[in-house]
Amino acid sequence: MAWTVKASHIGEHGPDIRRNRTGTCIVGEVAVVESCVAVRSQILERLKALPSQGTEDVALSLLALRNSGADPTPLLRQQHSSGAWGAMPNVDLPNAYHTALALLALRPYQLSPVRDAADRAFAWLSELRGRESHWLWQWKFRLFDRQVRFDPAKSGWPWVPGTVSWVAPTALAMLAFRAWRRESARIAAGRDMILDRACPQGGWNAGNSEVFGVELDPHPDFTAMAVLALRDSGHGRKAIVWRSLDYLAARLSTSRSPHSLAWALIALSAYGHEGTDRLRGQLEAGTTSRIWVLPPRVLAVAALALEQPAFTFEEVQR
Amino acid sequence: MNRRSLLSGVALVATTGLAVHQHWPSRVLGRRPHMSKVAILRCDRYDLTPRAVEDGFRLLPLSVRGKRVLLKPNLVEYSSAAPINTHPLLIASVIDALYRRGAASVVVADGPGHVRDTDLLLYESGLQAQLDAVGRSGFVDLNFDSVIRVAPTTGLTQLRELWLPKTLLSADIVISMPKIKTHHWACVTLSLKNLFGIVPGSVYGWPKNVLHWQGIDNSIVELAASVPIHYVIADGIEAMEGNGPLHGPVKRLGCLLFADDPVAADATCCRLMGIDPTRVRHLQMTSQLGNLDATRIEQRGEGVEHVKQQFDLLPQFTHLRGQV
Repeated sequence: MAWTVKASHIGEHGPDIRRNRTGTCIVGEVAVVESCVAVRSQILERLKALPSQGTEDVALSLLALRNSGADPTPLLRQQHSSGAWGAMPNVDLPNAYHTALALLALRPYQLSPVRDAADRAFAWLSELRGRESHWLWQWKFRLFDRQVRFDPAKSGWPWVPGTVSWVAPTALAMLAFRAWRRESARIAAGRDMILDRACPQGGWNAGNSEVFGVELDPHPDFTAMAVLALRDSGHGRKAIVWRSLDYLAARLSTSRSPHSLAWALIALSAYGHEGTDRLRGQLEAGTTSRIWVLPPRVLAVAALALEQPAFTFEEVQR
Repeated sequence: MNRRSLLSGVALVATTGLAVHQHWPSRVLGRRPHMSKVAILRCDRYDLTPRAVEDGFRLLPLSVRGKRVLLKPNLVEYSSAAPINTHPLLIASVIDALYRRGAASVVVADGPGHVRDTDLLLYESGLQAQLDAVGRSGFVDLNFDSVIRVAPTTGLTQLRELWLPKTLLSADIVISMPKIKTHHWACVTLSLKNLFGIVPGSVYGWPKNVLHWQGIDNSIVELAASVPIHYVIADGIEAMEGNGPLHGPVKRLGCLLFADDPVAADATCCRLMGIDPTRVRHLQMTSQLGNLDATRIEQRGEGVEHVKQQFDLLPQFTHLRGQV
């Protein structure tokens, strides 16, 4: 599916940089700002022409192109009758990560079908729990399966039904609930689960901090998702969050991988961390040099990361 | 009969039924060849792999002319301190050798189980640099490939369907290229366990937790029954012992292993590691798919006895040690 875009919107570069909330792309540093705008514009043009298939491609592209007349209908068509989304149109296995991402992408659209779709998606998400939330599995993890360190009483969302909670689907589900202003006790439970799974040195991986007595290494994208989910939960000032932000800035200091850089930049910008300018330059270079081979999901998250004012999932508007 | 004994009886019957269900060997459709062939070549440096790979293909030829070949290395995550991934220089040597033998195309494909950013892993591991240097072979991220529904055949898992990558299923020849490592859940991770990387993370998540809940051994067998591995090239130049697959120390085994049967390949790797393959559960369960028995494996190149070393094992696996 290629995006249909109204001609009047082509060339729109986003909001006035003077309304920058975080100050990370500072007015006055004209060259940096112009570079941001030019690169983002290139990415959006490429994104409009690129076919999207997977839910992550479609959802992130819709979000990136929300001010360019992108149509939410293709994403709505991919919703399952259960209310969930799967990874791809032909895959009927429901997936919490993709469902949360679809909800975030649909948030700016104030249409009746979108609200109906969101109601059904939140109902599905509310029912889905990590398998460790059942007392029987909690008992098993406490008594026998003790090689992986985690508190089974703290659960969030699994990727797919029948598995335990992991960081990425939990973080995105929390962001979706908050973006849509839906109250749920699951948000606080998800926050506790994410804090429990943090790597001791800072950062998060998929969701195991220690296995067989060995501390595991964090990964940039999961770390970014986790700190974004914690930002408005009253835990944004915790030491673990700031250690994790420092980890992101240091870990990617020489990287040119657009996926990790873009997620990290969104997270660092949301906290006003000082490492954003350097990462922005790396993201621009890494994306423009490979713009013809990068998939829509990566281009779209790069475009979001380069938005000014800084993009946040919870306050996304058209 | 009181209520307690009734419940106990029901629990016992259910547990027994589940145990029988998950151990039933005849569920795996047999495709075991009469004899399998394995070649072991000494090689103690990765810069020597071009020559070693040529020697391996001479000892154990593989017909690839006009075929689309898929190389499935073991890419998990990068550490400068541990030999986690199949070495990029070996992968490059194999690509080069396959093109020299007339392969129509050679693609390297994997879906890392721990990381979503495969680009980052390709750059940090050095594989992207090697692919760029070879120039004729691209990488397909199986975590995000188009998928096709495949019906499970063994009944060992509760999965109604498997979603598997189109690129993998459309290849003419699949070569599994594991790193020879111990594994803290499965004892060893070799050419069969390497199949976890074909399961798409975009569908199932990271890590591929569905497979753990279905039982790691059961899932390995289900994947092995669903996806034929035509050839194996195992990286044993720098292997891993102890707490694999990520945190064990390097074990310099100093060899490459070529095989035309993944079960025979893994059985021989186990013997090289000082492990009795007949005691490794997932290998027992795949005995219908290939040859575990040393008398059914034609050995070429170096003998097992001359190359094998005793690998350190986690305490839960020390009972699997074989005669060294």
